[in-house]
Amino acid sequence: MEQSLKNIRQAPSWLWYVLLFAGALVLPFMPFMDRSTTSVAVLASIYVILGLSLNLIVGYAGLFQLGHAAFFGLGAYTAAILSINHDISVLLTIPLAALVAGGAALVISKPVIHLRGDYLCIVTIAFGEIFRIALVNNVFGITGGSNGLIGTGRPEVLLPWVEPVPLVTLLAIGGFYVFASRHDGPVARWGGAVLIAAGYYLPPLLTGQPPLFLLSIVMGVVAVVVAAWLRARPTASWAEHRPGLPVLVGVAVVVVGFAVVMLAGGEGVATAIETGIQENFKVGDPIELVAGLTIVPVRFSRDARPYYYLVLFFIVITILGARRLQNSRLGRAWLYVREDELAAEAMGINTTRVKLAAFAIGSAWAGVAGVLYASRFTVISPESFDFLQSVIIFCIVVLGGSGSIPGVMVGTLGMVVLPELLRDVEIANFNIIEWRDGLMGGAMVLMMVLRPAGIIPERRQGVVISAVAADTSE
Amino acid sequence: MEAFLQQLINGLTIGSFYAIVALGYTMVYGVLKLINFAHGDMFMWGTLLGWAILSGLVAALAGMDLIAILVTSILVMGLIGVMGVVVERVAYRPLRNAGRLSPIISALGAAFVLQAVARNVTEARWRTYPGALLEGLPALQLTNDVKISGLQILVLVVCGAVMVALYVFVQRTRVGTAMRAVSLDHNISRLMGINVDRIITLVFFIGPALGGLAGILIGLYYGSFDFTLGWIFGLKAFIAAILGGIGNIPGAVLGGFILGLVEAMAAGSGLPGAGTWKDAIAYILLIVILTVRPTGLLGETKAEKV
Repeated sequence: MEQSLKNIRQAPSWLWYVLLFAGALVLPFMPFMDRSTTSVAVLASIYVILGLSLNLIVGYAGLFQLGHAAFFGLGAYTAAILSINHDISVLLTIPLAALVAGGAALVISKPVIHLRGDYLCIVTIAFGEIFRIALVNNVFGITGGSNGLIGTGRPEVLLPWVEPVPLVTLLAIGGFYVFASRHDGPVARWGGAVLIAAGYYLPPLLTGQPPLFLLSIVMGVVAVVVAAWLRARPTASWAEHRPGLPVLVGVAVVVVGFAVVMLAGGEGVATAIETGIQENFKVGDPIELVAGLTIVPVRFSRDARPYYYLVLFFIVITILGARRLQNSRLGRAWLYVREDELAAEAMGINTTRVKLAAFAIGSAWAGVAGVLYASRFTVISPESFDFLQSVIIFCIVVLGGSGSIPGVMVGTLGMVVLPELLRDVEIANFNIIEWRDGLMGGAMVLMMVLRPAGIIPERRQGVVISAVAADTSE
Repeated sequence: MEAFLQQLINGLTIGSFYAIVALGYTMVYGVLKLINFAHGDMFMWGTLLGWAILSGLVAALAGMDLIAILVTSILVMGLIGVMGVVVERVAYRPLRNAGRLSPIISALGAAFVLQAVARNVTEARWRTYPGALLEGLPALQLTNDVKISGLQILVLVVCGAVMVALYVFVQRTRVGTAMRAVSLDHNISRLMGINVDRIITLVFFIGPALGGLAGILIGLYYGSFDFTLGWIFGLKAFIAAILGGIGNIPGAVLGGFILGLVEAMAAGSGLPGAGTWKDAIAYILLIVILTVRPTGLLGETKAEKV
């Protein structure tokens, strides 16, 4: 009897992500978005990062973590304390906050990581409560008690402002391109990417419009990501045989794109960029560095849109990181531990280490989300990091779809965006916002009874075996 | 010494509350291996219903205090027992074979629903039990500074009687033996002719009913309550159950008393900040016991069949 293996047809996921990303980029400029809805969008984006971080622990590794808000709070309070007491720029506190949150997760989970699911659940709740009590009681005198901490600094970004650069640099860039495209390997891969990025910087220099440099930076970052991804794909045989080709394509796209911009009115774009920055941010005094390079410190104001793009940037990093983790050795180890811990241990996976890694990485990333939260809301208090928050984040992951990234987004839409949008709505004398917890609880029960895998379940690679006609001639 | 004795008495009283509520948790965990997060909110509903009924009754029957409390208690126990059965039917029975994660989330959901309804009923305000009750109860004055109030005597007596009754029920009657059998193995129990579903329904009646009783006593003891009573108290009672060995009825009682005593001693010990950190004691105890002896004080280490 013949059998045939057929891959389950899957829609190309990268297409969805590109479409989603494009939509997210233009979202703040849509006509239905005003001040408050953009604010909701920023909050939802922070919850998406939180959900993705918990997805590592609950979705990939299958551990129960109902105290995630504690690590969210750790990151937020770290950022607040460093920013208020030591005057450190908030975005610079991100590595430290991640370290604190991840380190705390390691220390706390080490004695309890071997516990079975239900017990781990209770212990994580206990940790969350201990954290909240410590905050309210102003432990070590730095947490501000139940009033919280006021006055976290807003994100500050240093923007380069460049004067035209001498010819020598141009020649160096050209030579590097020639050198890089002749070889394969990391030098060519990254060198080519840098070249593409450098290519973006030429037009502003040549045309003498310094503000366009900012456009270059944005496009340059995109170019580096795209070029590196193109080079990293093992199945793209044309990349293997023609190592210089992606670089060439990238630079060509750059030049053409900029030509279009310049023809359409480059000066207008430059002035638009400059006024846009002056309007939406607090611009500081330029600081002169070497060779005509000046840096302008630019601080976020209360407007929600810059925050939106900042958090969007972090979401992109998180999704990329999560996908890479999922398909890595560690990610597969998590999958095996989740499905059958005993078998995984028998196959030689150090389950303790793997589970601790899940906890540490997930919690560290929650700490990063905490920094973003603190810098956005500048006033943080213990109520934002209690058990209800942990449950909301947990529901975002599990009800949306445990282990799937689109699931987290759908979960956030349902658990965060929907209640905020329906805040003032009344149905038959019931104020929705008063019944929010009850509706959430009802949704939890309903989802578990009807669709336990979540709205968008995790999508696995699949193969369909179908029997073809039986062979009659034996 | 006197302060120690007083705290001892206080601790025993609070410990009885924890013990009764912990009994509900441990019985449900024993038969279903499920943490019934909704149990705390069910006993809070006991307090709520007790308040509602007593506030109405006191106006009607002045001077019939103990009888009023007795009648209310029985009524509330029945109502909360029914609530437990309904919750089991809606939120837990469909998930009987659904792994470990789904029932926990469903339990949390049920807890949130109960809490939300309570919040809207009480309009998120603290509610007080009628103060006229129990004024005539005799107190026991042991020494100059140590007193067991009438209410404490009532609590200790009632809770003690309930615990003994439950223990006898589980150990000596056929139904109790069936319960113990179901907590060991569902399928073998079915083979032995036990209707597992009915036993589980019974457990979900008795456990929350006991919680309802505890709820009324807590309302009388503390005098006032709000809709968040169930969550923290329930969590601590569950920790007490784990302390003694989850699934183990004497263990729940032991754990409840230990937790109550430790909390009372810590609160009265005069250490700086002891009052505000009192809640954290239960959580720290939990982590300690799970690290040192995960099966609890009276639990047996069962080899897990692979």
